[in-house]
Amino acid sequence: MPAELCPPYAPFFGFAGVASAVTVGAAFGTAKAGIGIAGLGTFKPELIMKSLVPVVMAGIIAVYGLVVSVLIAGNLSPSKGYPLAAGFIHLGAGISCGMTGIAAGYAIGLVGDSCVRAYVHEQRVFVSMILILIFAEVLGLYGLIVALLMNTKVTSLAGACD
Amino acid sequence: MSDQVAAAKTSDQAASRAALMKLLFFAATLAILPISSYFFTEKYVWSGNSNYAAITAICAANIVLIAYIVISVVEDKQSFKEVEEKKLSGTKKEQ
Repeated sequence: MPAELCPPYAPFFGFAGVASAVTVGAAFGTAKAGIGIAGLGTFKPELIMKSLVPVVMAGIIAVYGLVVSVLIAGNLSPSKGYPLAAGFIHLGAGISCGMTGIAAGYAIGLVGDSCVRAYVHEQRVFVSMILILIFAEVLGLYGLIVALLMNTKVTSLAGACD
Repeated sequence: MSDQVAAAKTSDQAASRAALMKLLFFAATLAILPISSYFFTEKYVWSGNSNYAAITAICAANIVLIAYIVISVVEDKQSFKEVEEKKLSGTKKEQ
């Protein structure tokens, strides 16, 4: 029974979870917002410091992915007994953080681009831009919370391979 | 006239250099602080509980974000006041 619960290919799913939590959305968000900031910089260079907020928020999405990857990789133990169920849980945790990171990064990119272009003409867009970006980033945070919740279930599986 | 232009150029260079240093500081902090706080608190504060360490890292990253927003808004207000003071001193000199 333990041999069935802990097959040798179980760590594949765990490491796939680590890899899938990685930052794809943050790159898109940085690139799209950077296009708008470059456009703003040609008209009003004094606004650049404030208009870099979307890029910082996309960086935070990347940090979320990194933290989940480190968390999952820290709980992996392929040399000791690693149940297949733990592998699937880790895969689900990584995918949840990765997909919400893609969605949040996409939203931050589009919102950052158009709000930064509007900021050239109207100064009061800044506060609404911050609010919309915070709502977009909290989506990535929800994915991270789900990943953390899933990861806590792995500790109850310890000792299934003995 | 050329003295004023040279002085304006050096002050612009100093301002842009200060802004660049500020940006580099925030970029480095955002890269280093969350992951180092994760490992540090996992080892010394939460005694091995990695979930609490992950929550600490997320709080650290969001604190960096809030600090960036606050500093950029404060700096914007300061530069706005400086521009207004320059305008007032310019009109006074013309009078």
